[in-house]
Amino acid sequence: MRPLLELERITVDFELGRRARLRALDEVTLHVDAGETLGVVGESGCGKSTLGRVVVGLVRPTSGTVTYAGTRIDCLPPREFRRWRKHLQIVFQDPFTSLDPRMTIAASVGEPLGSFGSGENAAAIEERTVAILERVGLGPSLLGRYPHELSGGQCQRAAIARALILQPDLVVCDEPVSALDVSVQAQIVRLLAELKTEFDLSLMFISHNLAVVRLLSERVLVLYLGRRMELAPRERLFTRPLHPYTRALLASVPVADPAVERARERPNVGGELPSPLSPPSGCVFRTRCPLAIDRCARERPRLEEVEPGHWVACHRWAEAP
Amino acid sequence: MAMLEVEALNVLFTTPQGKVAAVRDVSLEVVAGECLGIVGESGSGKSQLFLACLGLIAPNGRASGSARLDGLELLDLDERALQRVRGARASMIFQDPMSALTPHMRIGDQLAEVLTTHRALSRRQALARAAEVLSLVQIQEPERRLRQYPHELSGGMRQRVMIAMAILCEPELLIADEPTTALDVTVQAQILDLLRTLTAQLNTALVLITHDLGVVAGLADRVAVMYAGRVVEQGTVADVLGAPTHPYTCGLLDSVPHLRAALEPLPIGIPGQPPDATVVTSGCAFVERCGYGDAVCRVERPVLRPLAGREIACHHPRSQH
Repeated sequence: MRPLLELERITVDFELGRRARLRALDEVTLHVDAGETLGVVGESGCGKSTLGRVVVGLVRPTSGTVTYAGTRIDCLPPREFRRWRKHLQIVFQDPFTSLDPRMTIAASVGEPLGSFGSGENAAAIEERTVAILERVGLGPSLLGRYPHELSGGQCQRAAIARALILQPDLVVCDEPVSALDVSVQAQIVRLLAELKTEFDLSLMFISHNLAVVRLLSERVLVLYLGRRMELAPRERLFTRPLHPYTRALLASVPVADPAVERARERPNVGGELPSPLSPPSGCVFRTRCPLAIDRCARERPRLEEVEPGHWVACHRWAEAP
Repeated sequence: MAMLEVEALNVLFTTPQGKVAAVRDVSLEVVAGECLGIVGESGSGKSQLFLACLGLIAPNGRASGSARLDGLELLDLDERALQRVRGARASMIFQDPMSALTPHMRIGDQLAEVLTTHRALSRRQALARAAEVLSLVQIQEPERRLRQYPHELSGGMRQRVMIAMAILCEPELLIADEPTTALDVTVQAQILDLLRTLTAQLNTALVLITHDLGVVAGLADRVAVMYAGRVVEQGTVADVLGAPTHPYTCGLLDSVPHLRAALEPLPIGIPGQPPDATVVTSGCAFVERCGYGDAVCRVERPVLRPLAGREIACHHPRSQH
């Protein structure tokens, strides 16, 4: 069966002034199946947010194609793209800035129905708004409130309700829990997991937090400086990562158990992200990679399927200890 | 002897919405060479507690109680005396190095200013010492960095400069407020290693304020967990994080997803929202979110008392497994 969403060799360049060009995504190909959650992880500047925006049509790719349910949607004029918007929704990181401060929660959550619905009247819109808000855990007493009267967690629930009210097929979640306190993060992750099953959603779950991505994703894509480093089913990526960058990422995450945290080996990647304005030649990770050799500077590694479903872009993956 | 002794410290803000008690009756101490972790969610008072110690709270705030730095009562000092303490005997590292450094001053001038102010060094001597300390925080080519502006440095590099600035005068007390929250995880690991090495080398008392339990597990010797302005559990990291007894500490630890934990069930988080700081209750502030609260918890505030090698403020402590 054909995947719900297919991205083919997506490249996004941002022009910064006359001479500088920032390549945010470099030939990224991926697909998301119906009902599947694809996790996208990487550090700042890896292109993960740009990727999510390309999917929902907020950023136009410089080259490459986006195909949704068999239809190419990346080059549609805005008027025609409107037809697809209700199928593709997004939840942003900061719920305070993604909700209009001058609109009540009910107005913000119900607005998509007015714009993209099938001509429901005000009473029907209100009924569905109340129902979806209740489903995400917000009672009717919050309907008339404004975002500043709500906590971060409550605002994020409202943002999720707004994304779901049109019954989309795919929701991009761009760091949906990163701005929240840890006790509230867990509530939202749980809610997303329930909603995914209940509404039969596909999710693109974008986060820098590997442990959160692991909870929700069936497959995980690791990005670095706009390129795909590794793509694998969840269990493989977390138990047998092959790319040196994925291994470094996993090794860098602190563990809340003091006995484990003090005994573990420190990651051996030094340095910091190179400037995306002048990325290294060959493999972009080579400047920080403990396994880099001359070839890595000369030749850009291709993403290869080294085991069924497990893709790696590294000349040296087989050398990993 | 304790380097910092905080006793019955209260911080009260007067706002248009009424009085807000940010810190309530907190007592704790840190000895030289030790790292005390302060854990809590947003609004728990963890930052205000230490800002108050250094006389840095907003003008509508008032601190009462006692905070002694090596016997010197900080709350009695006037602004001039506080200026002689800050940066020299006690320094602070802030979360966001971009906004904590002056954007229009060269790194060298910002660092030298600390030394010409506190140590009566000439500008030339100060710059030489600044270069030394930049090497100490593992910055390559320190002389070149001294001539640069903050925007020319990466996030991790700026945080190293912040740390260098904080340790220039070899302070007895170093307060790091979310020092790695703004950084990528691979860079976070490097900065934590640096803090670990430096504090051992300089025998500094380190206070590490963070919401990240993993960071505390790796770096701190003891930890104090704060909720709604109060310390609810404190003890060694091994006791408190390894075998928590306060329901809030248990809830926090259960909220954090682990890379190696079972996927089912999903972390449950803590139900509800943190309490409104303008509301004064007579009982336990956590009762509304606690699964074990009863009538006693609603009327009688639990006091910190010794239990199982740590201190805990709870009527119904969890037994350790």
